[in-house]
Amino acid sequence: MKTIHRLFPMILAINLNFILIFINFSLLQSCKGKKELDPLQISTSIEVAQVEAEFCDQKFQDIKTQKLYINLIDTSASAQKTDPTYIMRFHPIIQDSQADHGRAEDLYTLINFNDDAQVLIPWTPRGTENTPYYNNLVYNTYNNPSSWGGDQGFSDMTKGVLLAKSLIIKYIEDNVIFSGNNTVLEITLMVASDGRPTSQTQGELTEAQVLDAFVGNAQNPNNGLMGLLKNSNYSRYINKINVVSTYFWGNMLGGQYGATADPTHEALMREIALRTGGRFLMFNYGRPVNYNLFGDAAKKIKKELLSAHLHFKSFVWDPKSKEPKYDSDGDGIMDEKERELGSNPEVIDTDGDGLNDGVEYKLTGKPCRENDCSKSEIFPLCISFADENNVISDLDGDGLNNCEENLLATSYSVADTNFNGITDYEEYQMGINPALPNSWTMDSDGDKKRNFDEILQFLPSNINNNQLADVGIKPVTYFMEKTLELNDGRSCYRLVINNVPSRFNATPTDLYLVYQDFSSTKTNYFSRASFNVSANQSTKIINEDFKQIDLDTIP
Amino acid sequence: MCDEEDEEIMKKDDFNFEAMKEIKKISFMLIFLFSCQKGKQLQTLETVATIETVPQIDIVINNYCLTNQQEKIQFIVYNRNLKIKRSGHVYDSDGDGLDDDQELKATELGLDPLKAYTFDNFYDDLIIFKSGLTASEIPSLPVASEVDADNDGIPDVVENLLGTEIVKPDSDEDGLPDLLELHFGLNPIKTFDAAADSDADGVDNTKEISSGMPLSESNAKSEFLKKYELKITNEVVSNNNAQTCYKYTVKGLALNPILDVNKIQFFFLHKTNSELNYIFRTYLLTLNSLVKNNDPLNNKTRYILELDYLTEINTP
Repeated sequence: MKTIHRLFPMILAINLNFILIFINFSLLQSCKGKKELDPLQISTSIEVAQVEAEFCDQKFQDIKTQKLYINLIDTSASAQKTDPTYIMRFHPIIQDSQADHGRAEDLYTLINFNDDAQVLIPWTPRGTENTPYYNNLVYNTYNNPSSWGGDQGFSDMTKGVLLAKSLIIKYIEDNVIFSGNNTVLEITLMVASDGRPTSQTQGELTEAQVLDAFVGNAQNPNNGLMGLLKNSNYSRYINKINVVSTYFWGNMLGGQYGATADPTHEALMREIALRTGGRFLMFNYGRPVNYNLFGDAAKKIKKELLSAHLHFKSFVWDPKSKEPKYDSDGDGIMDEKERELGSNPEVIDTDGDGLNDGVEYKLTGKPCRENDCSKSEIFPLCISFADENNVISDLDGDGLNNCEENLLATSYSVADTNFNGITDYEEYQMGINPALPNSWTMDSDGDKKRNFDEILQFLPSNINNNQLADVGIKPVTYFMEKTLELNDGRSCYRLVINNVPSRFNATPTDLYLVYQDFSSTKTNYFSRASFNVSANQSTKIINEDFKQIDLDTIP
Repeated sequence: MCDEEDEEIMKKDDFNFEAMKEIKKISFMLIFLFSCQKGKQLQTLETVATIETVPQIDIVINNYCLTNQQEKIQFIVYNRNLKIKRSGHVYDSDGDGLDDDQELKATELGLDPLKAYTFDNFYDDLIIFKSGLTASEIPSLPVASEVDADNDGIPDVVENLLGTEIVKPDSDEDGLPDLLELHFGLNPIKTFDAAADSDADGVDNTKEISSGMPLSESNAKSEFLKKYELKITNEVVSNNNAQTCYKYTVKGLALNPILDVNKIQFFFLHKTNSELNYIFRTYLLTLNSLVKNNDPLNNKTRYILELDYLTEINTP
């Protein structure tokens, strides 16, 4: 009996394999019948072309810095009229509410934490005209404890921090991602506490529990408020998170809340500031906080050219024959393989299911879902990404749509997930994992040329250059010089690129300009010119041929 | 239009610093007057031969000694008062990292090319220019002081503005300290740009900086760039159980002949166990004190400066 039990799944598996092979075989047949092959296109013949580009740095863009101020206040015992200093604890925020920042676009919110956390004042604009309004809100809120449930005697600041984090995420999703106007957030979170954090169920919280809410831990670095900066879906929208941890101790009457500060709590609040790269402030008698320390002025961002490079998207290197092969549609699978698999080498998504042939092949072993490559429904894993017209958008404009990026584990809102100056699509097409924070300075194939240089020069990064098939490939050369310097600090360039691989006739090729900015974001900005090169001809590219990719292009 | 009057004199290899100063002062004022507002047409490949020359100096650094637990990582030297491009030299009289030409062109800000801190507020002109602030916004900058926790040459409050780390001289840990990255147009919080090759000429950005070559222009096909390419060598002078001493030789550092004093920036990086140690120092080089030495190999005279690492460089 036992033997049969073991064998049964095997027999089933063998049968399934037969069925799958049969399906694959028929798929191959049915697709092959549809496409007339041009024998000339089967063999790869590499010619060389020249590209000459003249361009100037992009105009500077006003990147709007949206400031969000989140004030977290521990209200335990504070609203009791028996505590004459209750209003003192909130002095920092009241001071702040009285100060005129003069920036109408700044938003403030007030969160109260006790055993749980509540938003007492939702995002409120703060400009000169709104100052008295906000000021009143703060006073009125704290003078009417019944409006927020009153004191519960607990002070679990982690609840407040996590509520703040969810508010930030919601703000980004609702107001920033789709706004298309290049907003970056600068967030200042102030925690006002007057003693050790405690919760009803857990009693006094440990330092590890509190820090987890701010900075996560070794196992989960994405946890906590600062984890937002490590989450590629949100980090590009956040310029900075300033954490101000404050400890109020003592009172005017002296003694009731301690004549000296509690060293354990002070150490905790200092640790929060240290770990978040923020500031710690200890005060009593309502010493004001200088908010100037935490603010930036709005910045116009100057973008500087980081690099210019070609993407030879009509070719892939074949590790078996060690030579370049055509990839006419730029889906990352060479034409001859596509013919073998039954998909159309000239259509990036043969079955139109929303996944390009390459990603689909890697995922399922087949570039087309159905037995033939005719149109099919949206790929099941992509349904949630499709809009009502069954279109899957490409939010970051890098050439991989949101569903493909999800499956490749790259960010759909950042064109260059690993910040190496090469877009996710380029890396994917070249057979490199765009999600890996790859060491571009490494030499993976041990031929004494860095991976980064090889990619720029149309050499394979995973095949030793000494072993390449002799098909007349010469490294691509770039010649760049400045031709003009403009008054605002921008420059104009002339770039001549030789030995550009080409077919005999029109060969789709992209030229990328990569910019970095001087703000405290790690994002790279890309401009792309798409054009055809042809054997022994020079293609001229001008400023107007470049289109910005990335979120800037969202209408 | 901007810079042609003095070409003939510039070509001479034998420099009279005083004469150069006068000439350049005049041309400087001319630049200011006409101010080249429409943008300066740079010389192209074909006219490279006529680019003016400036004096060069060889610098020898003695007594750079590391214990056997220490490993040398990086050495960079550059002149803060001059940069080299394909089209020729650009002067930066106040050494703030922003060329005189650029300072003059930024008319709205009213930057002073002879003053690194035009606004006397601990924000140098480079930071002001790059931040994109308008003149009216400058008073709203956070009040700064000279407090600089990591001693990297950028005050803490300015680091806050830049988003760099207050306690790390090299915020992105790419081997180039923050100030150096700012001076060369790189991003001090982006790791990749140090290893990238902005002009795709086969020399990565870190190597371009250490050889004094432009980052976003090809090095090829230019006799001018070849002449000013820095050649740095080091040799072991003594070696025992406790320490190894090196002698660094820098050949051909270009000097700004208009200024009496050139700000030479040195940067040494070494590793102790896994900890990186940054030595970032400015040496003020007085041109008139330079003595020419014969260089029989090249059949010409050269300026040579010998410095002691312990007493003349590694002291703030």
